[in-house]
Amino acid sequence: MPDVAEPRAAAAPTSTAEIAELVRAAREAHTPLRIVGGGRWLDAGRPVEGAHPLPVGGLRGIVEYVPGDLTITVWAGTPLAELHRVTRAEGQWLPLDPHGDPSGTVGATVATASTGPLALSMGTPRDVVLGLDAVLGTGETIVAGGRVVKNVAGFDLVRLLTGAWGTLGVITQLSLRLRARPEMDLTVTAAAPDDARAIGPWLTRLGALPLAPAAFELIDRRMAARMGLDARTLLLVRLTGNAALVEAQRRVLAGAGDVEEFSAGAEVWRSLATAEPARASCMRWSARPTRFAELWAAALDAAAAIDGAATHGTPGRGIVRQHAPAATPPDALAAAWTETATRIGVARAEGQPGAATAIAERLPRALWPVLTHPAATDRISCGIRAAFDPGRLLNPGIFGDHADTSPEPETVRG
Amino acid sequence: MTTPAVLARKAEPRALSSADADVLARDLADIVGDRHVRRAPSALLAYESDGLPGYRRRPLMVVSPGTRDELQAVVRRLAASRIAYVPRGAGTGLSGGSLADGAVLIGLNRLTAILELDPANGLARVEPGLVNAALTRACEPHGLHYAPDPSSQTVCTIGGNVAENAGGPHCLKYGVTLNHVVAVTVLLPDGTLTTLGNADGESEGYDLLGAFIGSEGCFGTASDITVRLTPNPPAVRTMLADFHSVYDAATAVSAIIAAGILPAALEMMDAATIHAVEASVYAAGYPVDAAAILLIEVDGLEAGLDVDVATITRLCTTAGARAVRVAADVAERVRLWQGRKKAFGAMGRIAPHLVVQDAVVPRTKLPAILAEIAEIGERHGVRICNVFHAGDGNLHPNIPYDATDADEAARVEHAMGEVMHACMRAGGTITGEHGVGLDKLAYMPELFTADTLDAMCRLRGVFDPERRSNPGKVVPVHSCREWQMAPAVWRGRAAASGRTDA
Repeated sequence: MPDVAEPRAAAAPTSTAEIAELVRAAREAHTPLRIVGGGRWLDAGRPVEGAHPLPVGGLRGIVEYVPGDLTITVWAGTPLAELHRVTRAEGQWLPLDPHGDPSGTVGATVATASTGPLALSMGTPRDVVLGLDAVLGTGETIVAGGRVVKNVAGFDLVRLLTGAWGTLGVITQLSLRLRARPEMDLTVTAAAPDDARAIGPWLTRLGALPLAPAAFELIDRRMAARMGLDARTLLLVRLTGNAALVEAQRRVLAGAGDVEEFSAGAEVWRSLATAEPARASCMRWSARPTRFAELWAAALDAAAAIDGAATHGTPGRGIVRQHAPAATPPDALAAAWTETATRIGVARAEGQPGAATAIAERLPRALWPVLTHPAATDRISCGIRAAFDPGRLLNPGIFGDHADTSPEPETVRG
Repeated sequence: MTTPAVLARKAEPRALSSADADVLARDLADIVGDRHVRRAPSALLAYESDGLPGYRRRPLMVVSPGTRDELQAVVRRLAASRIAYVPRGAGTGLSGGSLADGAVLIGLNRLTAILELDPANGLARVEPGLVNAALTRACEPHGLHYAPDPSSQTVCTIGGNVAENAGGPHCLKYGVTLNHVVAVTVLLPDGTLTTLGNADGESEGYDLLGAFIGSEGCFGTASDITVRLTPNPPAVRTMLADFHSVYDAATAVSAIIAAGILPAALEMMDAATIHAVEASVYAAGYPVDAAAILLIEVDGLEAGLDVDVATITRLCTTAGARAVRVAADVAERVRLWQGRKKAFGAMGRIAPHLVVQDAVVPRTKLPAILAEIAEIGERHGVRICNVFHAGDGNLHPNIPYDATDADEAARVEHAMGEVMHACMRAGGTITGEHGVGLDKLAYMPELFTADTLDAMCRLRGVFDPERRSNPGKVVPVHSCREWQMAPAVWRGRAAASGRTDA
């Protein structure tokens, strides 16, 4: 992203041992660290207590790639785009398509457990990561998991660090499961009802059709316009597999209504991933998939009150995501998104059961305490944090779990 | 952040006098009823081993709660006296993971309720003692099934599956238990309940659910489990390919995976296994003169499935298959699978005992590792039967033998050790789905660095600071620094009481 400067560390570390040395030094000096990946894509907007940057972008490149194993081991600072290029050359792919520019790193994708439309069929980072090397907040290096696709040896440190936002350890190397690229990869759009009340029955009707899409994403008219498509509610369907399978599903969709095809389907998905304006605020609501239409309607009502807000969602995962321009007045944003959360039944406090979940991806600083609850504050999570990062050195406060005495938080741009 | 109290307490296993045991048994009987506390040696016999022969450990007593409230009361009572316990499902585990050496064994088999079935969202919330196949039967009317399908699925429990992160043939396409559990309510060893994961949307914070699944009962006991149900595939093709050589079959496996086809299952059986199956009541019609067979299943929408069948047939033939046939009907399909799923049982006919192994190698290493395993078997004069999830590189080299023959038992042990080391050298791991339990403890320091093992110890210590839940499993106690730093007197006592827990 243009508004985020590359970190200018004098000498970015290029090995796990160097990272470990820096973490140990920080531990001795009681200096909190802010882990910085590519420094371009993941403008997390999450508050981190005043911390010294620890650049991991120097850990870059392929460590081992045996295409026949459909696995790859890479340095965590490797950009997703580079991974896509290398695996494509072998007719394979890493099916992670998080929102944002593909110059973002694979380490950041795993550390934040970020997902995109492909998660519907390919799973999330926790389903893709086979093993990882990481430097814990103690300065110790762990080598967790392995390089094989099935592994239950020992307690699962891999899942623990995936999605931990760097607060337990700095991921330095990753082994990942790849997939063979399908023979065909076709994206079809279908015009969907603009009326939010009609979405539920419409999706139910589509759901009964013989379809097994790789991605199935609903976008509202503003999102469609941002992507350069017709400004109407659209369904994007990604069909993959052998030609017979893709063709049969294409015919099924064609019979279902107003359909348009994109041979260059990958570009549609790239433009969806990068549609949000710089430093946009972003919120994600989720619930059981049968409640998708309810979430969609609530989100569209919120969008009506926010100039330039755009909405999309994955019905099969029960997720709706909305972003609002950075210039949106915080009061308006807070009011609209609080109303949405109340309507869909988001829990009022962490640890309380709720019928739905709201996760903020990026917010103006002042809104974090208004729109989110601190995460990872339960007894077990705190115990694990204390066991892995006793000095609270790594991305402190990134879960909104600020120590009372901490200085004013600043915004992380990992 | 201050160190939470749960970490500050030091583990202190407690040896129980016979009088204390009487009191405990009475207290537990007050909770669950007299019939459900067993102490007689004859009653304990059935609980001395699990699905893996070769280990016998006698529990102090067996208590079987009939409700989740009773389960919680039992665990609270044990916590009050700091008594070690082992949760157990059906006892079909293959790593000695549910054996209780002088500890209280908590049988979960009476907790079999389906608490909530939400077919529209493909979710079910169940009690831990529910049998895997019973869940699939219950959601059959809705066109759904529970995808992880370990061979023991007709008896093994969902709780046990969660503890072991169980796999099965169809995990190649559908994923292992981890990929199918969305939330678990965990009864921690201190008797408190906590919910991990979220059935109503995404989760934020640490993936504690991911950490819990596969923790082999060392982090606590799943009190209820919400799993994802999978729509039954509209179309299925089950194929049988037979080969002159194991090498050719392994080559075909690599070719299929590399071609971009993701079969629902891709299983291999070698000649020794084929003979065992065909000589048993589970005879499936496998060709007895084949060196190896592949059982291959593709499923999904009807469209395109026959194209995949044709591609797989071509790849198998190119790799040297003598014949490739497609099951003509459901009955043949069931028969082909029956032989695979009952293969371990069929081996039981060959000899009184059976070592069941579980290791994983990178898929391209399959041909080489199978050759090496055959060589190891020959050199030690033991008969290794291979039946395994070839598509995942997940090997099960099994050895039928007579454990009362000391010489043979020693040869089997040496051969197995060499097989495991060969798999590790090939870049693999020591278990793909059976767990570490007791059986694989010794390999852990070879597979993981000291810092990694210590991190595992610390993780366990957060869930179970007193290390009372399934002590002595998964991570060898000597790799836990906290234990190393503990007073020598305590270490001695722990060793003496056999409670060398991790």
